[in-house]
Amino acid sequence: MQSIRQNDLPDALPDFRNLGVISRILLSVNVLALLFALARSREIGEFAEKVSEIAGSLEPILLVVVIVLYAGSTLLERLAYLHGLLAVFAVVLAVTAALFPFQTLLGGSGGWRELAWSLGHATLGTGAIAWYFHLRNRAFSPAISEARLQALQARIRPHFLFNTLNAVLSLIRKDPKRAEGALEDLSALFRTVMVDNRQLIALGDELSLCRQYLNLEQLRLGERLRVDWRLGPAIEEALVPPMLLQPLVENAVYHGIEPGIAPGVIEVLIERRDDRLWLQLANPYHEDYQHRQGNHMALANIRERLQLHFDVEASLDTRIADGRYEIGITMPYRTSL
Amino acid sequence: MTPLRVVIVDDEEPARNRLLELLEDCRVELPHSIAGEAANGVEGLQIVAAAQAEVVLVDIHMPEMSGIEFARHLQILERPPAVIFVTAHDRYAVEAFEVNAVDYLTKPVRASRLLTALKKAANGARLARGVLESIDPAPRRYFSVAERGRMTLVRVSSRNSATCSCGFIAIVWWRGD
Repeated sequence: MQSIRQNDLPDALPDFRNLGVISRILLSVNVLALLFALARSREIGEFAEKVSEIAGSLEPILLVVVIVLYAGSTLLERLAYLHGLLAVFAVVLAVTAALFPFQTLLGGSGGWRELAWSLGHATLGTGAIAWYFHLRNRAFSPAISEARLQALQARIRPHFLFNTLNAVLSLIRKDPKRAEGALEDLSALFRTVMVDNRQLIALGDELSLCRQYLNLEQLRLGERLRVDWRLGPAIEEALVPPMLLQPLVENAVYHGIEPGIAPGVIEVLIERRDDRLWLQLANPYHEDYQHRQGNHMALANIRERLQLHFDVEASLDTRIADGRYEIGITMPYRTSL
Repeated sequence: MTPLRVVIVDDEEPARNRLLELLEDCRVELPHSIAGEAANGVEGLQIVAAAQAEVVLVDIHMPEMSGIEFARHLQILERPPAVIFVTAHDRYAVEAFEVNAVDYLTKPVRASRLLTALKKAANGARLARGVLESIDPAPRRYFSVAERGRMTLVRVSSRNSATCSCGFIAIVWWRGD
């Protein structure tokens, strides 16, 4: 097992199909161009002239590069970071060179010197943006490592582990077969939690993790814990951040089921609607037990990780309605295929 | 020595079963009888009052009434039983030990550890009332009145009213509270 202290997220290219990533690229390239124009002009009239001159040659290149990266993102994802980065540089330079003849139409001289000039700027600009995404990745690293730590701690939390072990002990004499099954679930759960889980995983795997966890809780809570799974078709292959649902299910048990004497239902609804994945989780709401801690930390962490993986395209909302606590998550539907 | 009358209060059935097994393991060294078991504090109080239990093994985190509040209500009985907390949470343990609670066992419990606790209880150790306040100062959720082997519990709510005159306290509550 890797050390928990090894915090940094592995460098990876951003997802070029993500709306947030695309807008960040467009915005930052244009800001760079404006700064460049500002640096090279001495008066306001000259600035406007420079801006339109740069925009004329820059925007077509930028547009084509973004489209090419969008189309080739699945190929780029398979490459190692360094190779992927080189491929992106190659795309930018190739597009710049390919569109260079059109610059003569806009009044450029079309000479070798000007081509070298364009390629040089394209390289610098791409480097700056790659650096920006690298830094952004770094900034989000703590969220990921904290998630792993939290996940580990959550499982090793006395409340869950000791209660479960106690329940297993109660089975050993009377129902050894069931005790075996429970210990198998427990070790599978720990194994999943302890692997280095920073990349997206199939929702099917996350769901089986949740089932193992719920099997163990069922052992101690019995009839009090009821789970209503409503899973739509074609959701198992969807890619989600690891430990997306499990902490939410655990919270639902802790805050929704344990404080009640009467049986409570946890509803899990997951479906695909066109190119979006919708997840909804609901549990009974006990006003009296809101002093129980831990819910907000898990939510904030999941929100941060969703933002890291899907930027503005994912959201997490909570609400209390009709005595039930509901969490809704939407994110892009992606598969590894 | 007459067998010690023991009551188990835990909201989780496997946890109660486990305690029954462990008690069975201790029976030779410390004779006792199971006076009853309950899945929550409200039921537990009735059983303890009716059976005149001498020892209660009680979980702390339970729905409706916590183990700590349960122990507080026990103190109004003429002969309150010895309370042994049995819980997976160890965050109350320090306070409990500091104030000499009869005993505080963490799940999973070893039979030998349970035996030690039962012996302490059999020797007449009792939990002082003040101890409970210091472990969990949360407000109680029930009023309790004990008389002739029965305990009456009234849920604390804004619809209740209490008046006090001539040395009597009258509590008025709504049916269903």
